[in-house]
Amino acid sequence: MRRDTLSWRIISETLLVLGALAIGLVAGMIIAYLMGAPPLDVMGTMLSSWKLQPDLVAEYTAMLALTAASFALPLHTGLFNIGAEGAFQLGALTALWVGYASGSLWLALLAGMTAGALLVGLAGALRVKLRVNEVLSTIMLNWIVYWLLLYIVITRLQDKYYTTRTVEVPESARLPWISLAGTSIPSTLLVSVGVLVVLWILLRMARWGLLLRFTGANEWSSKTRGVPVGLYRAGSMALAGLLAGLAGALHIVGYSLSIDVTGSAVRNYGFNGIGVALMGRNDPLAIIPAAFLFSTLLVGSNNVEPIYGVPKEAGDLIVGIIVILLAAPEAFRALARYAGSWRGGKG
Amino acid sequence: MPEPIVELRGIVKVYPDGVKALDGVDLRLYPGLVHAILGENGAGKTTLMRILYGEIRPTRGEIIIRGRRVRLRSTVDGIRNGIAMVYQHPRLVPTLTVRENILLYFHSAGIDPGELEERLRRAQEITGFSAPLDERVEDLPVGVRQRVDILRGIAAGARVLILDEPTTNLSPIEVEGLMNAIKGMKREGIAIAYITHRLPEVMEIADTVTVLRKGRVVASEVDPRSLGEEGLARLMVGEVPPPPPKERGKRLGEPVLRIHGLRARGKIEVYIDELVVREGEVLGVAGVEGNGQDELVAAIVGYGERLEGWVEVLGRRNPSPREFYKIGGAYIPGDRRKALALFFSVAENLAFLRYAHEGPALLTPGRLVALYREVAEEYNVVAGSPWAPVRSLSGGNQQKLLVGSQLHMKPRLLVAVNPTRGLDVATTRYVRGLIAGLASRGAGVLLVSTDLDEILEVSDRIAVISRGRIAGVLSPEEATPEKLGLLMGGGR
Ligand SMILES: Nc1ncnc2c1ncn2[C@@H]1O[C@H](COP(=O)(O)OP(=O)(O)OP(=O)(O)O)[C@@H](O)[C@H]1O
Ligand SMILES: [Mg+2]
Repeated sequence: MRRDTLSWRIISETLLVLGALAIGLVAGMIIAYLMGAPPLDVMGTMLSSWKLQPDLVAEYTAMLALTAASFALPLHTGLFNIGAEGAFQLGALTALWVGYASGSLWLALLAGMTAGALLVGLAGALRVKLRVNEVLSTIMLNWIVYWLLLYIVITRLQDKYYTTRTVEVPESARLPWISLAGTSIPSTLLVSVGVLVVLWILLRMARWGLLLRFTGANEWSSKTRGVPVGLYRAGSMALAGLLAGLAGALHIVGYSLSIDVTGSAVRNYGFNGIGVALMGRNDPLAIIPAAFLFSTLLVGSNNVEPIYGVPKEAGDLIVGIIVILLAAPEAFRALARYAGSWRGGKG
Repeated sequence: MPEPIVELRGIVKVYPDGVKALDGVDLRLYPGLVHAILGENGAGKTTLMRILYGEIRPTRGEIIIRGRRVRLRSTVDGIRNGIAMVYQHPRLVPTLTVRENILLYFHSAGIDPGELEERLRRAQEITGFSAPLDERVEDLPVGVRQRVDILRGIAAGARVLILDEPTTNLSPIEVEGLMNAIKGMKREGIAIAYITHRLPEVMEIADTVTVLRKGRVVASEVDPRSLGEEGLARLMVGEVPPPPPKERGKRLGEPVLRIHGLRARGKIEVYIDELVVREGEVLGVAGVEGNGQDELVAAIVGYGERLEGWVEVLGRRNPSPREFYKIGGAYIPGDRRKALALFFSVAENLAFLRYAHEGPALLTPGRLVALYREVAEEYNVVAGSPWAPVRSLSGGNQQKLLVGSQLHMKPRLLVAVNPTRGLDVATTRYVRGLIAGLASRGAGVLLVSTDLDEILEVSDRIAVISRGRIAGVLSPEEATPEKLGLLMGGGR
């Protein structure tokens, strides 16, 4: 019997994921057991958080899917974008500011996307023009944004009455929630899923995506065929920044409405997106369920402490193990591609 | 015949995607004899050898080495059983030095690093090769890398050496060196499995021949000299048509390529004063590899630097690569592995090579499959499925895919570098026919080849390149192999 390669690959990949998930769950239960909590109940709590807090899981899924795409896209050209974190925060900050000042939803979103695109696009341009390592530059940019955010939140945007947070975006600049199966969730999820589907189509069905992926797979061939490798690489970074900036902006106008003065409301989405991207094999469609799983576990792990009295870190540990198991195969491939991107001359 | 060192019995190989590459193959290798393994593209030659080396496992069948049945779980097992394999593209770590690569290999073989000097000296005596121990592999030309690959195998005590199309990337002088090394190894009693598509080599070096066809043995241990080249070719692929007679007195049209005062630099500096290719003609560029062919081609297609002078393609001065293809150029690079993305699917590679410069914005799977069907049918590409990774195609089928992608563009100027490299006899003839046909339909072809037979068979004019200069342009009547050889060597 002939086994068609494409469906065969999908089946084997699915089995791999399910296997890793099973191992992760068993490891999680062992940890729970060692901590003196009922293993099955702990895992049940972690995995059913989407029933208890559907709005929160939906919001996390929406954000992580976008930041994961922000990591995945440049990786197809051979570049490592660590800057989704900074772009997310900058996107949130500019959207808040512009939304507050203008009262316009569209302007707020546009500002967030532009800010993110410029930030990460800068790292892309530096890499392509001057061979500045984009891992280092995006990490540095992350720190710049980190302090900038705290500075502006405290000096410019702090609310007069609720001093623990900034002002809120006005009613006119908010994204409405939607009702779904008896509950209400932020519509950021719809936007996010829509963007990822479009991205998937661009990557897998459009000539643009084929050329983009070839710049990462075979730089020499791309050059000899007249594909502007540097432009694709820098462009993928700018687009990646745009996606993360959009996520930050959506988070403000669609969910949090303000930023707390410590900035914790807008932190770690970018970094967690890396894990989600690797779990989703850098494929925009696979990233969506990966983001959902990650979000479910993340939200669920917060409930483990109050219910079972085990430290919060136990929940984090379980999440970490599952994510690493699911992400490891792609992480190796990613490193190989990254090493390859430095080999061919300029760009 | 002496006792065989290695015996393969009833080998069956079904690849994970369901392709049955071998279907019950028997093979014996004898000490001190060169056993040529022939067969058309995709016949299963490389697969069989990878099984003997331990790189992949047979689905069924037995491997017997020195009378003992063995199970090879990896190439380490192969190496420890005295098997060495030299691929067409030497598998050395490019960023390490030669010495480090040899030590790495010794580690797999379980040999004490202290024995390096002594063992290497022995291997050098046997093969007549020497190795620049402290150079980094990536700085070495392919020919030298291959020598290192052979040397380390022999130094590690291999009794069986597998050579998979070893001469495809070698210059004539390097081929001579290899033949001498093989003779040395024969004297040592080393068994050699020799895969090639070049029948004259078989005549020269092989003691016995086995022919595979679609995964089965169609002739086992036959004497090459009693069959002759023709007989061997017939066993491999059936009847081979003779080369078509060349059209005489063709009417040539406008120039499709003009080069004037071009200075280009890559590994060497190239200066081309004047060179013209007209509609309807094949201009062959003969020369020993590394004499400026790469630089010349890069300057024409536009991805190489043009320091001075100009290249005019179909009326356009100094086109960028994108323009080159857009105005009707096509390019078959000399090294298919550099042109393909080996882990991407056949369909994606094809679509990329065909449409990178220009094409429909949407490339849906349906469209990719349609393109694949068209090209696979027309150029006889055999792949498990359009979604199989290109890596899983046999070397010859990868080459046909590359050639097909370019001819599908219906180019007005084709730049082809060694277009039949790695193709079997029948397919070689077929591709040469395609190139000649392209010219007779009014396109111009620049055929850069290190294979003189190829040049002589299809060219209407022959330019010889030597040390970055055109040493002379001859008509096919003037161009005897001697004369060409002299020009290639830099004489007048
Ligand atoms: N890794 C693989 N996965 C799936 N199929 C493969 C793989 N490698 C080879 N094949 C298939 O097995 C068959 C035999 O391939 P093989 O490389 O052994 O041919 P070959 O005789 O060496 O041909 P060539 O002269 O073109 O190099 C081909 O149909 C090829 O497509
Ligand atoms: Mg082969």
